[in-house]
Amino acid sequence: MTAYMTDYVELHCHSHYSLLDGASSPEALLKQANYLGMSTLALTDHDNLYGAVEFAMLARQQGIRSIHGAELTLHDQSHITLLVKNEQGWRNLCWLITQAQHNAPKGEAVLQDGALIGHSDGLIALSGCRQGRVMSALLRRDRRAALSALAQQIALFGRDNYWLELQHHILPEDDELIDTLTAMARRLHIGTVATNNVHYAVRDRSRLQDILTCIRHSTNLDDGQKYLRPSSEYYLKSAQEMVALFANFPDALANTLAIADRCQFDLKTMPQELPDYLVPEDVSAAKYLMMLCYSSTRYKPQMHQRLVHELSIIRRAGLENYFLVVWDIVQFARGHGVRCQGRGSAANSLIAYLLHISPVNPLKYDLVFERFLSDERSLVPDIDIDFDNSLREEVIQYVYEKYGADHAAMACTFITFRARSAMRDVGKALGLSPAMVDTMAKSLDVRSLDHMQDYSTAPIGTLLLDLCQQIEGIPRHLSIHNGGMILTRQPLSDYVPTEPAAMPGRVVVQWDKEGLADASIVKIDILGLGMLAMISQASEMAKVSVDDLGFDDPAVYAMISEADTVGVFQVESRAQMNTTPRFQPRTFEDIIILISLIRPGPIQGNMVHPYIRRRLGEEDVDYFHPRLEKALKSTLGVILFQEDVLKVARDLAGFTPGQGELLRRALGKKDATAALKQFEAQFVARCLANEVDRETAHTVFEKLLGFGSYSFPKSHAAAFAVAVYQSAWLRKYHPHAFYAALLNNQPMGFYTPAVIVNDARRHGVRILKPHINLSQERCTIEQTANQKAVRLGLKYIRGLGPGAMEKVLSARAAGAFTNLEDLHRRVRLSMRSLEYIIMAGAMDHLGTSRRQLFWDLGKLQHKQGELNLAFADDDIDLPSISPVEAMQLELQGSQVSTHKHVMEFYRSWCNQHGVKHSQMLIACKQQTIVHVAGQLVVRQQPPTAKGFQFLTLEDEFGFFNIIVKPDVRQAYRFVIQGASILLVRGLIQHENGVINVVAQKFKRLEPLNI
Amino acid sequence: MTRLWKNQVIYVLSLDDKPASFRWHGRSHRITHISERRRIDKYWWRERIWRDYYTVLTHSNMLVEIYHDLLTDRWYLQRVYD
Repeated sequence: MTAYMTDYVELHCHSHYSLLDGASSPEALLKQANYLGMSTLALTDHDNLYGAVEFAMLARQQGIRSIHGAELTLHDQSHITLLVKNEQGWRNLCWLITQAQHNAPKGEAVLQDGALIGHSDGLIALSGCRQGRVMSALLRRDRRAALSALAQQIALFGRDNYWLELQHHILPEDDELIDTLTAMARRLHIGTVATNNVHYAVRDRSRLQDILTCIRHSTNLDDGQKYLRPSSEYYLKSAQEMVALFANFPDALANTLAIADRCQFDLKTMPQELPDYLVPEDVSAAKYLMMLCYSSTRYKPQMHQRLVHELSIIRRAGLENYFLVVWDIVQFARGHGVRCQGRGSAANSLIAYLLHISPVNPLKYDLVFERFLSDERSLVPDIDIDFDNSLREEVIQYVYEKYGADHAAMACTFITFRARSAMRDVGKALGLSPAMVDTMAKSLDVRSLDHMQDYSTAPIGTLLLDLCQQIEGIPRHLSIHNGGMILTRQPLSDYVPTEPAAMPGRVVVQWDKEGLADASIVKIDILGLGMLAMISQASEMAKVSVDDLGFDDPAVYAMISEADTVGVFQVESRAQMNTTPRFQPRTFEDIIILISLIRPGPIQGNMVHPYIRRRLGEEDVDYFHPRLEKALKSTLGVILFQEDVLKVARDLAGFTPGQGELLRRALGKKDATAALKQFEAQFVARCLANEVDRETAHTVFEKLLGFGSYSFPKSHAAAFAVAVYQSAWLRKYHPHAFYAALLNNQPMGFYTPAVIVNDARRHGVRILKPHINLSQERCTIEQTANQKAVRLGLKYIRGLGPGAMEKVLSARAAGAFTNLEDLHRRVRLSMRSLEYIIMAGAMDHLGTSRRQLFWDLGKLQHKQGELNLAFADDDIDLPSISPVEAMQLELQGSQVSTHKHVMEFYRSWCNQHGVKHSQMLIACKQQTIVHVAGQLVVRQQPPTAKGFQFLTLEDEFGFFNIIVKPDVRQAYRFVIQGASILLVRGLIQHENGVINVVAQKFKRLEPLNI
Repeated sequence: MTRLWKNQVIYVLSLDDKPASFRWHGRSHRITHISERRRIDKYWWRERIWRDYYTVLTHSNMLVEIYHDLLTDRWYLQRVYD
């Protein structure tokens, strides 16, 4: 038997992956186990293996042996604890959990007893907690049922693999229960085993467990006491504590070690095999892949050498089939009009380019294949493909149908408690009033509990803050990953359990992307990208193709350089708009660099300004060593892309690209100090051999260390840059189609539909209100002899869902609606929907004022009732609707105002009070004090900004940039959070062609009363 | 029938972590049998109650419920059974 450091192994332990039940992370449990000197720990979450990979990895790091298992729920809601002995046991447990999950509504699991027959090999069963079949029968004083359950479970698992679980939480019945169970075990010649049914690492965490229990039952602590555990004894107890509780039952303690010794399954990487792509007869997958590449319309003779190189690496890795499977998916998409393009490191591959998986020719942009795959890298890389998000489901369903639900599933993702959701749920569980909780939650930044300190002066506030801090980051429920699909030749349940997702027809595996990556299970990311849908629809409306653009139109680059980029992919953010006037992109490469540079990593790494200074000739380019000029020429000596690491290592130290990729991976990892030391020694030695001096070698390696985890492959940026250029080109040359498609694909990007409509108006594109007789479901282009405009679709009318829109369109096919009553009679929409139609101005064309239409709607409502009384309303003089009211109604009814910007109504007041508009700031001198006013359209507080907040205000002429320093932000946060129209006093700051107002004071502008 | 007592502080002698005898109203009571032990930990969100309750039989055949307040480390008599 293995030597154990203590006399006890905990075999029944829940982590926070027992959702809304377990209160500690696997990491916290393992740390506590380590602290207690335990050498082994089991994880037995409810009906899942969500935390298995994380647990195994962390346990290995802590030097603790992990045992995997689960507490399954049987059809009578009783529990049974199963532990994995070996690989067969793992497969059986995955299969059993899959069965249980698919046999119950989402979030629940129910296993039929029959499922255990034939699937108990390799598993050890423990009889379970008080909800176990045996113990619950004894608690009901039904000894006969207890014996019957016992006999049944022994028959299923065999005497050697079944143990009666003894638990002692110092509850009144515990002593008697343990005595009875021990006697039964003795009589039936089975063993007993002590467990503590752990639900948290340390006693203090029991409070959080109570809170989670209340959240699970939608109740509060006072009302939900029947659901709470009676004491705080469900923590990970030391061997000494367990020995004290089970002093008279030494066998039950000793058996924990015996069972642990039998559970030798080690969850490591899994040999996953992808399903076979069916190639033509007598042709191997390798040959077929080669044939496809050489016959590609994109193939050029100069690609031959690189192609041979890639094919040979792929052959050695045995990944021909992988490429064919991905190619097949892309083929399907293109064949069905679904725009798609690869992203990520796959775009480093020429094969991906030739197979039309990636839009980027890697030879043109010097993209290194080994960043994607190399002989040195044993792991199979994911391939990420973006699809038009409006049509992506067709692709997913194709994959499900082609490979079957047993072989194809999506990765899951865990939705965790964040600041606001924590505040709402914990506040409710503590019994605080909904209004109070709502007010507090709204005052918080979505991601941070910082401002909660304000509430921590009251005792309940302290408790609330403490519990919110504890619960933040704990998984609340399971969701679907945005595109990761796992395909296997063997049934998925041989590897990992699956369960139904909330979305009908979707199945997810029980591991998220990190878990899958750690278990070396490759996924194909079928991602939805709204911008591809936008490009596709805009091209269709404009009747142009963007696929063969040359990426060389100066007018497109000029537009981007002027930061005139609302709606353009990747370059519309405030940070981008602040950079482009100085950066002045002129080429496609510039776009690649631009979108890679303005990201948190390079910003934090202080790389942005050096690069731009070098670009503008304000600073000399330093390549560290002449040998690096070739590798870093395009980035002016800045190590910006992941591929640059490979090139630097190659040119300075003679690393192979594969070795360079291993170095890059080590640079991106936490806790890779030892590996990096080895790399450094190797790097320096090889530099010296290449006649590079020691100091330069160390300096360059330091730079590589500083590069850290910026993690942006150039290939990914290049693929995205294609969509940047295409969307910019459409905006420049086909603005009507661009804005119509952009509005059709909201929400997307940084701006609301109202801001997009304002931007369109500023660019001379008329946006027309929804029209009950002319609008289609989506926005369309209306063209008459002398004018062109974008007509808002019916989808912009609030409250009109797909069903209602279909009813309107199908009724309208028989003839236009003549009045409100006609619409009501023929379509039978709800009164609320009709009200929104009127508000949005969709019936203005009928010649009846909106006020009159509201009046008529009231009469229609009455007609729906039983009594058909006539109203003498002819004499009523209804006041007309003012322009301000009309705008407010439109905003309520359709989110946008097509006629005027709200600030136009404040303009005369602003002029009287010296408040400047956005176009006047260019004439203001540096550091002068100004007053500006505008509608708040974007509010950002990036984590890297050290407490600064950046606001974007808009008026009828354009945007204002407002910088809010931390002290001003603190003083005016309630004004900023609560208002939509802000008056700001601040100092003008001209910086690199961008004008900012550094705020000093904020005031809410009073609502319009015109 | 039982009689409930409030705030009856008692002085307890323990053996092996269990109460062996206690002194109440000036008289000493030797515990001959512990019939039940239970621990509660609740109401932490208001005023936490964290106690070990014992139902014990004394040498004078008195059946009583005593508890150990784990927050203050003090003992109390709560109930005397007829």
